[in-house]
Amino acid sequence: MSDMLENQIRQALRDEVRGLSLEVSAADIARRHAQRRRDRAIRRIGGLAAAVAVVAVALGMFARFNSAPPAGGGGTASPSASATPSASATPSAGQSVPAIPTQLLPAVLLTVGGGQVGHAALPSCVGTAQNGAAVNTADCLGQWALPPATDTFAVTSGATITVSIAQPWAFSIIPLQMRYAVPADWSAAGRTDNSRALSIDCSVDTGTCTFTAPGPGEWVINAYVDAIDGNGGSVEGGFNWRINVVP
Amino acid sequence: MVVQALRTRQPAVLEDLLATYGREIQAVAYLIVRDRADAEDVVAETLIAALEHGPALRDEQSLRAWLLRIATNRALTMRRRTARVVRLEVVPEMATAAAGGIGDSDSRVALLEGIAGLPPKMRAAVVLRYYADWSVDECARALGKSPNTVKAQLQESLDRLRAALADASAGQPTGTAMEAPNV
Repeated sequence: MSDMLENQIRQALRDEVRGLSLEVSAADIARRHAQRRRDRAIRRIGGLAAAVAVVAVALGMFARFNSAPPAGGGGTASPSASATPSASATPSAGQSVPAIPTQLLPAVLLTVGGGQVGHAALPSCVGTAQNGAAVNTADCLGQWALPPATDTFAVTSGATITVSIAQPWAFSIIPLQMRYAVPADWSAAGRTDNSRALSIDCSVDTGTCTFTAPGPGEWVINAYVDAIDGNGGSVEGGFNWRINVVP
Repeated sequence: MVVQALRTRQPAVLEDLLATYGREIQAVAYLIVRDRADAEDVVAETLIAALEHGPALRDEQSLRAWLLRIATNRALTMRRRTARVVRLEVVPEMATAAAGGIGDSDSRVALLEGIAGLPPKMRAAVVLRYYADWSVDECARALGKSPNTVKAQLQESLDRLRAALADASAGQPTGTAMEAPNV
């Protein structure tokens, strides 16, 4: 009985992936790899800047410590065994390392026919990256202020729809991916037809995706953003807009 | 040859890896994340990780297992990351249209829905055990769990799928494709 079920599972799984076609190419992967290395370099630079800041504060403390008259008034300011840096010369709570200024909060814009109709800001946890450290995206996930398909727009079939990141210049890398536009009623039922999902090409350089409104009906546009800013802050998340395409 | 190229981090090896293992990685990833675009991302991520960590690969024979292990972990991570994004779930029409198979299309649909409804880690165990044909020990290593835990997860999965089949044959709805909580 169990063997039969196991065989059924094997067969069902094989059937399920039979029609899949692999569209990613080695060149695409090589490009991503190169991009990843650039990301890391940016993070390293951010980390280095933080390390330099720490060292600068420590040196400042050390200099102040060294220039102070020795206890008991010995009349000499030359370094002595008692004047060597110690734990007290490192930044304390009151002398914290200066935080890198909060960066701009990115936002995603939805434009139809040239007029902006939707706007979704990324959550406030973005911009808390300090000292070059990347924001822990796992922490961010719980704070996503998703507009859960609350914005509905009427769009004429064939109209040009654009989804883009506002202020793209604030980010070093702006991969904005439009994953799918799927019929809203199907996704609401938890059941969507992969074969009718639209794959939309996006410009990684400008953070913009442009596509033509699909056939009449209610669709959900789902934009997924994964951006890394110059301070090493990492943001990601999905946004859904509901559009009503009319003939 | 491929392993040697991986160890020396030659980017040209991506072509070979993609041709040899791309489809299988994609299939495993798809069965876990249930999204074609995400599955392709997992393929790319897996091969990039392989290129970056190639020098750590010791045993040439274990290349396939190593790649599928990376892919499984990437897929589970991606599944967590995109949990709030609109999901594309099982399409009974597509499953029914698949050629060959277990004969009874209702049963197949019920099984696929049942598998899609399993918590991601349990689903990953099912995929590795029954699609990749790995032993329980191999699944356990890939998932970072004890063999007993994986064995228990597989048993629980079989129980759930058996119940889904029974419901289907009794003409009852098998439930939605919503996922159960993580385990």
